[in-house]
Amino acid sequence: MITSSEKRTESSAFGKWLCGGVILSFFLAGCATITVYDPTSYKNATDLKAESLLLVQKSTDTADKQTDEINKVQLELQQDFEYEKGKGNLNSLTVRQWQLLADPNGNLLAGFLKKWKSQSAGFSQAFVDGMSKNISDAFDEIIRLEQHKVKQ
Amino acid sequence: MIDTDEVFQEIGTGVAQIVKQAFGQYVTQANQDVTAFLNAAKALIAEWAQQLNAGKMSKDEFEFLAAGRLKDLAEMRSLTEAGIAAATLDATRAKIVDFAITAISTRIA
Repeated sequence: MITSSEKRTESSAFGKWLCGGVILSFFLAGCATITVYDPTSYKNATDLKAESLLLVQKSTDTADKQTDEINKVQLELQQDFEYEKGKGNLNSLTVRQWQLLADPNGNLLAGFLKKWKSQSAGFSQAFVDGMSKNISDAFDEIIRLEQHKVKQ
Repeated sequence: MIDTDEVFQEIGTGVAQIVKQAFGQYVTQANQDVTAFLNAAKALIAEWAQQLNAGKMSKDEFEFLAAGRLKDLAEMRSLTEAGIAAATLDATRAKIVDFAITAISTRIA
């Protein structure tokens, strides 16, 4: 037969065990390693991808004929980059991806726009096709990472 | 009264299955992704080299494309794989917490 004292001891031990489990659960749940999926980030990337690829296709011509569109894409690129930076350290991998895309000394979107504006002629069709492929794949990396983040 | 040994045995088995399934799928997918990236890069560089030799693009254009593919895009792919690993870890941790809470709560109810 179990005495009331033994019952209190069992109850107390179970209570401690349960509290420990709950605390551990909250600890585990609170230690995210990356930001969660953000539909705004997904839309920003897909929208800018479409606009950028349309612009790249026009780069067989000189840049001065597309000044407004170039400025618009550059502005949106910086805005999207700043949006991602605003999410803090947990978003560092995505931020680095945008940084590569937005680096004027790099070889993706911002680097391409800088190169285009710095020369007096347009690019060859072969280069434009290759650039379209590289920029498209760069956006796809950003989009794919966002898609894999945990949806809440 | 709850049998804590039984609960922890169940949680241990369940957690092992969740981790094995989540990361097994991730490792297989990551290997396929990296192989696909390298194969695609190799094919593109070969195509651009042919176009360079045929005079369809300048040396400067070829170098810009190749650097974008081999330097910037390779880093982008690495970042994606690292991010997917982190997201897999977060998703797995959430599953483990749900599983553990369910295992405990079914015994309390």
